[in-house]
Amino acid sequence: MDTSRSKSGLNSLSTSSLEQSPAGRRSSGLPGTSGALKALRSRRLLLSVESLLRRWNPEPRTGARMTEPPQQHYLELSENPVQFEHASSVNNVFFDEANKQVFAVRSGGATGVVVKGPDDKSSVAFRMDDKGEVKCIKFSIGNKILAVQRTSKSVDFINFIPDYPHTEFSQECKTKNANVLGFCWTNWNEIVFITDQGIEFYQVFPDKRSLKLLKNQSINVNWYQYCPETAVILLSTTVQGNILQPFAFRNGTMSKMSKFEIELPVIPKPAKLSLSERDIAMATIYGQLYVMYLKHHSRTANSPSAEVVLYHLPREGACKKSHVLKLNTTGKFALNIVDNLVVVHHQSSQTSLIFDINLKEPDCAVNTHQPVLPARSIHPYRMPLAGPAVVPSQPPVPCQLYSSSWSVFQPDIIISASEGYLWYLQVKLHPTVNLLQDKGKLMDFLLRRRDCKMVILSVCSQILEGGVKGSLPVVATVFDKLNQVYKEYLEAEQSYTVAMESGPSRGSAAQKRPVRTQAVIDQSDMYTHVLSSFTERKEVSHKFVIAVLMEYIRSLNQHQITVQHYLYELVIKTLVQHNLFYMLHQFLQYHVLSDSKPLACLLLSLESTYPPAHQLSLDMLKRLSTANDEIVEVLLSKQQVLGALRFIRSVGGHDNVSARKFLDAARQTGDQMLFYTVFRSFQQRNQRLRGSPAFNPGEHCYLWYLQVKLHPTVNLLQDKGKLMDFLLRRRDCKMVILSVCSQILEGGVKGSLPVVATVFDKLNQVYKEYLEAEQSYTVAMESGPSRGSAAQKRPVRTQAVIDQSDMYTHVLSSFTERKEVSHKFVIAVLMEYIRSLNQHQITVQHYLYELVIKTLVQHNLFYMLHQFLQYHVLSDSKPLACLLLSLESTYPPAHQLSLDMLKRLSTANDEIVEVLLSKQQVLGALRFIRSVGGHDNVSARKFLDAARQTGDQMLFYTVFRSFQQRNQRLRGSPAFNPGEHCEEHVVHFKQLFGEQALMKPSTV
Amino acid sequence: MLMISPRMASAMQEKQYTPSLLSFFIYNPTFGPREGEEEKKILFYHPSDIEKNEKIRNVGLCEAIVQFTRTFCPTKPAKSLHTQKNRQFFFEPEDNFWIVMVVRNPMIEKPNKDGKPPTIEYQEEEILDTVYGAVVRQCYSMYKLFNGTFGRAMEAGGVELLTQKLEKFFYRYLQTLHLQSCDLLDVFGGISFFPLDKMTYLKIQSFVNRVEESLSLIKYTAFLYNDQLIWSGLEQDDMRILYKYLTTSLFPRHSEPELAGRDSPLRPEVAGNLLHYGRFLTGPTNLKDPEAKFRFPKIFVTAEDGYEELHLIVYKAMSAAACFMISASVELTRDFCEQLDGLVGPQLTLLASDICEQFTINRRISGPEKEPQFKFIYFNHMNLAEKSTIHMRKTASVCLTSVHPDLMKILGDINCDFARVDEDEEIIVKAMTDYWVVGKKSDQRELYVILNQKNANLIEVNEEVKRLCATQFNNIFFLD
Repeated sequence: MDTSRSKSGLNSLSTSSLEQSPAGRRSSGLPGTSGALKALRSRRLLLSVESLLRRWNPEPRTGARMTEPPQQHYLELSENPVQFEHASSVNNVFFDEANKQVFAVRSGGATGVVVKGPDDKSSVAFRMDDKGEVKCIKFSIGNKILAVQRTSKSVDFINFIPDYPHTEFSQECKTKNANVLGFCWTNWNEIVFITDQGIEFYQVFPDKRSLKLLKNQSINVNWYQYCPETAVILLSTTVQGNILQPFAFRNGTMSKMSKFEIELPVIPKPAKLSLSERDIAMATIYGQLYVMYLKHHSRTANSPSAEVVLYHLPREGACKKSHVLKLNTTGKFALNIVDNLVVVHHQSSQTSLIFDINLKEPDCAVNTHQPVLPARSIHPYRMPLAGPAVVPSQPPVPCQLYSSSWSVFQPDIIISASEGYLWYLQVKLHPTVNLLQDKGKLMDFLLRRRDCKMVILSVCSQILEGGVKGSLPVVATVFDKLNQVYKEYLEAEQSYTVAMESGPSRGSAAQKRPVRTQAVIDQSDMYTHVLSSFTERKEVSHKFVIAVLMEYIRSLNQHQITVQHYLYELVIKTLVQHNLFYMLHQFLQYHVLSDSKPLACLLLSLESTYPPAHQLSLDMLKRLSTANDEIVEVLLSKQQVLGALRFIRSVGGHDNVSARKFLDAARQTGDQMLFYTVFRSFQQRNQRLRGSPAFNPGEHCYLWYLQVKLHPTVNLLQDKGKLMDFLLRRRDCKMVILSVCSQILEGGVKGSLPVVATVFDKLNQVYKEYLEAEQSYTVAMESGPSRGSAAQKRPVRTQAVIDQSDMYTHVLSSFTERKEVSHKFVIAVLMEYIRSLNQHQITVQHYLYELVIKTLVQHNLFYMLHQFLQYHVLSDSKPLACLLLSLESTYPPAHQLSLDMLKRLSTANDEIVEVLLSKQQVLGALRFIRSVGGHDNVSARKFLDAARQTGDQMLFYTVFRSFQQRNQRLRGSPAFNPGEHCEEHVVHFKQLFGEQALMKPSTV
Repeated sequence: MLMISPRMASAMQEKQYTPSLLSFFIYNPTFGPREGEEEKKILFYHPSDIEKNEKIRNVGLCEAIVQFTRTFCPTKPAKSLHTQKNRQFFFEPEDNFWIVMVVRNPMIEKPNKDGKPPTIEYQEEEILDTVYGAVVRQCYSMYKLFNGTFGRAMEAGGVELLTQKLEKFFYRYLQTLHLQSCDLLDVFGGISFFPLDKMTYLKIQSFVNRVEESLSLIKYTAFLYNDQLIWSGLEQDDMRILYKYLTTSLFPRHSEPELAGRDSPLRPEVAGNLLHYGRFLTGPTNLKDPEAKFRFPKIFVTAEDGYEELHLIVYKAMSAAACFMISASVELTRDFCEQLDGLVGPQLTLLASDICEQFTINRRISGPEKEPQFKFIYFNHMNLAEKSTIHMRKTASVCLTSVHPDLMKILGDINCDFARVDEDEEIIVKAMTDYWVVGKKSDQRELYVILNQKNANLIEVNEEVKRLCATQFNNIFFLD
């Protein structure tokens, strides 16, 4: 069935370039009445005669795809096509491939030119004078200058730059007798004329409204093609037209590339133009420029069907025939490039094929390709009826696909000029999944597509969830393919990082950050979208789940990608869920699950269900070599104190380790020998490090220190009094004694108070003896060495002397803070200690009193405090009095108690005065100071201040008089000394009582 | 069973006899409680040619001893009886079933002058309870692996079936017991693991998973290389005994003919078909043989509900062996075996050469200094991993050690000491002739090192062991 020969006017499909009939149909004439349009590249894109006039509809119309039939269409037209006024007798339509703009020229421009681009920004509407039929119309890049060709000799220009003259200017081609075939903009102000005798490269000066010839080249041209992406113009030369000469343009330069020959299926005799412009197209695929040649099936040659031959056109070097795409059919074809896929439309069957030139065909020669997928038509498309706006609900009508009115442009554009639509062709990946049974090939295909990520992930899920028998090798292949891409990205990223770190100076600046395409499926993607949900599926056997996870880990390892912890966790979780501990064990043994602290911790947590996990975890920590602390903790928690100690020594961490932790653990074992050993070991360490076996206070170890020696004696001698007698005679007894005290107190055994008393007495006896000896020595020293014998030696303070400060610091302060001890007992103990001190005539230090008061106040035992004070249990002192004063607000009687105390102190008169004055008891203060004979030296001002503050004039008078009398008595004059700063008060007195009230200096 | 000790070179004509099996019997006292029916108690007796009354006497004696010692500790009756000439081991694997093994003590025969009969000196202290106790337990485990429990046979066919099974099994098995070469390793009953890098291991994983997936009959798989375990789908305790069987019985049986004939086991009929070295170690020796029988040994392993009976298919390609276990309820056909051969053969061959290559690379990287100059035995109770540089290659007939039996005994003694306490310990023993024996126990691991350094002192020995630990065990947590 040779449809190509039919006269159905299908030729419009081929206008993009490819048509079955190779013979010279390159007439620029329009086809007749079929309503088809003849778009010859951008020059004369379309001039169509359409008798049916439709009104221009300003309403935006969006197309709608028809609802999906079960057929899997993997190609579709874009949902938002560019719409323009369809071609008609008065409306010529042109398409510019460079800017992707459609020009609708009405009446030669006189009634308007509407330019529609891919987005609104590039859409323009304007008017120009009708100076004859427009053959070609194009904007320069950025819509700066419009070029219009109306004759075969010249091109006209109109400035579209604001503030520049808008008058048209014109340029004739330089070559005489040449016809301009067309022109191409290569920059905003650079243009190439292609004539039948060569090419001319101009620079346009819009301000001067002139052009300058940059370069020209004479060559016979049959036709030309332009690839805007690469700015390459391809010229067909020689009689047969099959020698192609490419030129590349860049920044005002024109370079001639090496020419090449297209192999024709039949060499015509005599020679005539045999290579049609329609059979050639240029496009970039995978970043490389290719010339595609539609090689038709010929009756003479032995090829049964048509094929597309790809010539690789490198920037430098010779052009090579690189790929052959087998079409396996004949007829009329058109080509598009979408997402680096070559799409071949076949008109008679109304289907399209896609080819991926990077997809290796196992059963074909290296560069021969079969279609990736079975042929399918483009997804059915409905367009809204172009009716008046008043009937918007009219249902959209199906669009005729593969229509003869279609024009196809590179890379992915399909135009229906008769209907006024421009679509972009798109590839839908989802339908491909079920069309390609070979999943490995499917992955290869998908990984090269742009929006592939979710599709790939869904394919993975599909493979896993299908759970089809024998799918494991497929899973492995798929993982390997994914990880290969992933790995390449990681490597690129790393080499980029390295390059950045080594500084931009070294190497070329060309090092660019690698782009992460959608094909990079990392572990997190895999985990989130595929594996985590897969492992949770109940119906999949756990064996398969584990096999899949292991397969993924294997693949990652094979590509030297570090496996993320969450994958391991997933494996472990799955294994533990199914009690497959032994399997887990074996994985760990072979380090399939790489070592890490989190993993080790996870293992530790499994110990209760699977004891060997403990050892596995420790091994792992050991191998990590940064987890020594964790190992020690684990060992200590198992009470393996010696083991922990030996371990920390073996790794050299003994010096910095916390002794307390070890001693705690050792004590908990209840093993005395163990405790002794550990303790000794740390003492030796201290000795070595600091030259002393003692622990630093920061180490909080003194209690353990005591433990060492106490154990033998403390627990053996139940009689604490006897124990004290024994201890007090020992050399290193201090800390032991203190700890015994703590122990007795903390035990809080009922009836222990007498014991406490005994102990305190014994301690204070020794303390007292020492104090006496010290004092007698001091006395002896002061009285001079002459008297008495020289034998008087300073008494040695032995460790047995436990003074109040020792007691306070090591025993009492912490004891009073203990919550579990009743405050009654606390107070009893404190009182007992104070009693004992008193009994031995030792002055009690203030901090002990404070401790008592604090404790009493804390428990609101004010009355008890009161009584203690009353009986002078708490000895008088200024600080104590002050403390009491501060309590006044909560316990008013404290005021009195305080004053009493101050009074008793007899050195605190000033304080008493202050207290009284602060209470505005000015007269009282005055009388008190007089009574103690301090009146003469007291500061008059203070009293006067206080008296004045009361606002009581009589009081002020009295006080003032009293001081005047004192002055009189002391200095023979009632006047105040200047140093007393009482001038102010004198003035005040005068104001109140008059000058005469002032006491006159009495003459004796 | 006669072995001339090297020590004998000095004392002429002195002969040393190693420990040997005197008798081995199994009885159940509840089967013949009444007088005159004592013979019914005896389920198996080796040697079988002993006079009936003597059998009854011996069984009765054992029964009496066990019963007597029960009065002291009802839960732990006597485990062994030491006498001058022999030692008896008692083991009750199932209720009322007793296995007794009588071992003759090693002895030295000193010739006397004047043609008098030689005097015999028994060395009753030379053998260890732990070692032979373990041997008895192993006997039972091995029986159980192939036959299930005694109770199972009783249920199926009563005493008659049980005695048949015992006879059939132990008749052959006892011949393979080599009591003179039993040592510490028998106590451990460990598994030797093949050292492997992660990637190759994952490949094996992948292989196992794929095979199990495509041949879904396969329930469990174990993978070994060079007689060392790499992967086990079976639980640890089952694997332990299966490993024992594979390495001490099945593999040596097949490797000896291989070693004898220098040619590789690549058979022409296989080579013509598909180039792989795979073959069945159990089941049909030749798939192409039309007479071939597709019967495989059956084994019993623990399952969630008691026991599970499985076909054991052992398939080997070069040094790699894969054990496939299939439920015994399934009849295995020629089709299946051919399918398995076609699937596993090429893959396993490839894998074996991969492993071999990787192993050589690793050895080259680690260099010769990692080759141990130390003689040591390592055992981990947790995963049953054992490693010994003392033992030579195990063969079916004899297990060779490179050290003097006296030293092995010291190792056994230290092991007994370790067993007594839970804590980590270290024991250093100075043996005669410049040997030092060091035993270390850390958590679940035990390490025994034999050093031979002239005039070494305790500190030097300790340092030496530390060095060993640092080089050989640097990636595990081993307290020192």
